[in-house]
Amino acid sequence: MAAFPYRAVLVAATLALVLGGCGATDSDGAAGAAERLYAAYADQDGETACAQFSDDTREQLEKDERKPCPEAVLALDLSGTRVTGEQAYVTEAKVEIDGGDSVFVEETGEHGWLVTAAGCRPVPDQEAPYDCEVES
Amino acid sequence: MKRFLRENSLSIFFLTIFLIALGLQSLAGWQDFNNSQLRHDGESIGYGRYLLSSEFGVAMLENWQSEYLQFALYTTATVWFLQRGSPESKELDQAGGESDEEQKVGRHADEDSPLWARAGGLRTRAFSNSLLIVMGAIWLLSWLGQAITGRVAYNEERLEHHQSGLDFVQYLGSADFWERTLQNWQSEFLAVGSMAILAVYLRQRGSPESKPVGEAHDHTGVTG
Repeated sequence: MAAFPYRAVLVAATLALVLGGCGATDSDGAAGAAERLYAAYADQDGETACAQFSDDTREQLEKDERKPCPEAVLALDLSGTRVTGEQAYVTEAKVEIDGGDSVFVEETGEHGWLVTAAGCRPVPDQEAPYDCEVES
Repeated sequence: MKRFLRENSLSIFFLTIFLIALGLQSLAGWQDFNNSQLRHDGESIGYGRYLLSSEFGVAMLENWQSEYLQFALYTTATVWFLQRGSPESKELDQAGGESDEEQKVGRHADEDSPLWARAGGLRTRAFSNSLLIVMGAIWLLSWLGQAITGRVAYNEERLEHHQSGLDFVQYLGSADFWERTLQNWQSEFLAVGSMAILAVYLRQRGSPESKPVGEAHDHTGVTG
């Protein structure tokens, strides 16, 4: 029943090591998108800020605020400008901003990494989603 | 060459269908992953990237670990546990590790016995349990691989829903890890348990996993 046990050990060990390293993705784009959003917000540049949002998030923001996105985004309460940390898993990432905000970023096809939620703060229940200023 | 193929056909056959099944699983998994991405406007990924992703890793390793656990457990449990009438069981008075003479170790070894069966001491003890040691090691490595890749795949899902990611220890205590683990364990335990019982009453002519067709139901430890 165990035809190639030694070979199988090697295969399993190699795969565990290789696949274990595959969680992180190239997430420079994720941190970059979050940083551009927060920098544009600090500069009161609504157009650039809105360009960082996914379509769904932009639409949700316009619906919630009843204003065009470039205006609505400047009414949000976003805190900080510098990225202090990030977690990236396959096509999803969470970026920490120095003001205490978290930003959720998703890898999309042609537009690269786009923000799906910003101004997010954790809630006491770990299983509950973050409480966000804007989200899709 | 022809002789080599015939004399190793069992392992070659299973290795071949393993590779075919794994290839097809990877294609289906890749398609499924991209379908799921499309549903929420996410990015489709290429086949190569999927093969190196934790999504594929966990889908493969969660099954591997349970299979190796199954064989490691079965190898060990059948040393002591018996099943009257089953070809999977030893004869009813043979439970346990048996004598050195029966196991052909140390001074009872044959001339063509493996070297470590003759050597005595730690080497013979290690070789006497080498099947369990290797199968158990593969099980633990696969399970570790499942945990590492499963955490990444689960965290991707959590971040998509704007939840925090779990660290490794948190993931080991999560319902996702145990659901993946136990759904595979239960099916393996059912399969070997039912095989032990069904082989008492049913036969497959010519198979060493079965008793000879005409063997009595209550004869234990006989293989055909």
